[in-house]
Amino acid sequence: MESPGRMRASSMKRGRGLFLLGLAAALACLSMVALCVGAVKIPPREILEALTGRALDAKLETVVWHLRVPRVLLGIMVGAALSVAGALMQGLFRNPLADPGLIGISSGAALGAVFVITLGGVVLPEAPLLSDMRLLPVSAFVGALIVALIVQRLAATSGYTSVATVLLVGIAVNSLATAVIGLSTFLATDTQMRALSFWMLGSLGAADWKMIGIAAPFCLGLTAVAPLFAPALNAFALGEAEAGHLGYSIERTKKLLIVVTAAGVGACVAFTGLIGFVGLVVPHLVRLWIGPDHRWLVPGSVLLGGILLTLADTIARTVVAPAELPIGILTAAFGGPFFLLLLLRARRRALWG
Amino acid sequence: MKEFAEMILRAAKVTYHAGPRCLVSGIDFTLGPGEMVALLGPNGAGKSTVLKLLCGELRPSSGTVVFGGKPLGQWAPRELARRRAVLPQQAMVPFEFSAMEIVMLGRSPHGDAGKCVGMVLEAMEWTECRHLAQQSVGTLSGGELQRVHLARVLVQIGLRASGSVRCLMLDEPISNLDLSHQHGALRIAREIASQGAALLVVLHDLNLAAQYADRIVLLKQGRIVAAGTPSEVLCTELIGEVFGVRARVIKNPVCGSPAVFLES
Repeated sequence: MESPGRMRASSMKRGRGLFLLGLAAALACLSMVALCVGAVKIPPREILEALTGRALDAKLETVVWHLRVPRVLLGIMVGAALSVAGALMQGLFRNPLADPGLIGISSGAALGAVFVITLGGVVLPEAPLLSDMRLLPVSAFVGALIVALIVQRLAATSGYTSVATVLLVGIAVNSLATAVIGLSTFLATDTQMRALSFWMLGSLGAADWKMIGIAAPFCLGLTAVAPLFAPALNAFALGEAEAGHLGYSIERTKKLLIVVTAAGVGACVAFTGLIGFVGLVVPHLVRLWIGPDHRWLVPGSVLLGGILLTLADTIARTVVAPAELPIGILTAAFGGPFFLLLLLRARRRALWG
Repeated sequence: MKEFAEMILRAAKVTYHAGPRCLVSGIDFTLGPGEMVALLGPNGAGKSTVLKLLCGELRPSSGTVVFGGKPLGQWAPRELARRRAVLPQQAMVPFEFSAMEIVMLGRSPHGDAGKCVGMVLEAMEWTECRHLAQQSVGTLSGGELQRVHLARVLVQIGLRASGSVRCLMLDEPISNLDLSHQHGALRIAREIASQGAALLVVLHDLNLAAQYADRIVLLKQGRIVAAGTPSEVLCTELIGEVFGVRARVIKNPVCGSPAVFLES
């Protein structure tokens, strides 16, 4: 009876605090590495000098402050937000396969963003509102929110979520998004088209302080409020009705969760394009290490999400230097097989229903 | 009004429609402190629906449900959850929580899970799942999982009598249990009731209901056909009317309650 697998729960629980500390340390080290490597290699000592404003070389200081630092910060922010969004959606839909990309929320955000980027420019080229960068995350948020509400309405009927429905809604929305994005590339100019297709593949390349300033409230907002949902999400694991009997306001929790997730994912997609599978892979890895308790899972996902995206971005901009690989290609290349692996596992556990 | 306050749960003329179909109608029901009531009836009689109406999971189309002297709708969810635990028929837990983590969730309305490890382990001792504490719930059998969930609702209302109202509503809590654990679970329910808590239990086994419940409510096609003590309700005529079987009722030699057997 007592196979090692049955006893895993206890070993998972040990050292959660240590695990989080380890992740934080790894994130700090990795950020330093990410600041050092690139088209120009900069030694750590000079990075520190530039960061503290004691750099001798003004050009070097510009590279560090205006190129590398925003990029690393954006990577951490987006990685954390996407991972937390994944953890929240998985808890809400009571399914470890939910991911903002797979269930169509990212596509919804992309739709909203593309609408502003190209259609706005084509239809109303002179409209000042549409060329404003601040409108991007808002329109992406609206797109993400609409899709999230549709998914929730269709899939979570009578306290029981059908995984198949969630994923099918994702497929439908993804193809709709592809169609609309295709249409806008058709209407776009050559430059717009190139920008669009790179944006579709996902990239942190456009990071600057202005972008950070606009994306931060959305991404950090999601990351900051996510822990507040942790106890409710633990109760949700028992079922929606059970969570209600444990004293949580189910409808309010669900609505709030969907709104904050859509806001975070919307901002990520608006500025960095479609970076898939992060929200799927990261919470899963964290669960493997420290178990499914959302009070630990959420901070764990924040840190590991930051780590994985910083790592992926560092690889993306060094592996084919001086050119850059779109980061979405990397995350999809690793995430796709990982998703297949999860599907096989889930099928064994008969999660389809 | 005094009578209202004394009853923990009181339902009057509760009716529930799903579309044009009337699933439940005219339910009048009271549940007092220290009382254990069994809800019985054939498949599709509306037992689970009645339980969902009485616990507020479903909103009645008409009629009222009053808990602890206050209409259900006026309770803050958390305040209600501290006094009353509901165990629905189980859905699967999608993540690999340990059994003990699941039981601890029962303390979440009180916000003191960290301080209640002793109580959690004691409840798991009661329902004989202490040895499963560190195991992942995904690996438990149906019966083991049911005992874990029973421990969870027990810690939710507390294992001992407290100043406040305590109520347990259980939907087929023993459907997956073996003979010994069925009796074990119902003995625990009895014990909780003897401390002054109110218990409503949906059961299938007439003889177990007769042995452990103070009152039995017989349900057929969404209506209460009979309600009363086991010896009042469990007679050949009523059982025949409700379940469509020919039954013979004798006295249970163990406890003196009625025991039902079917004519072959």
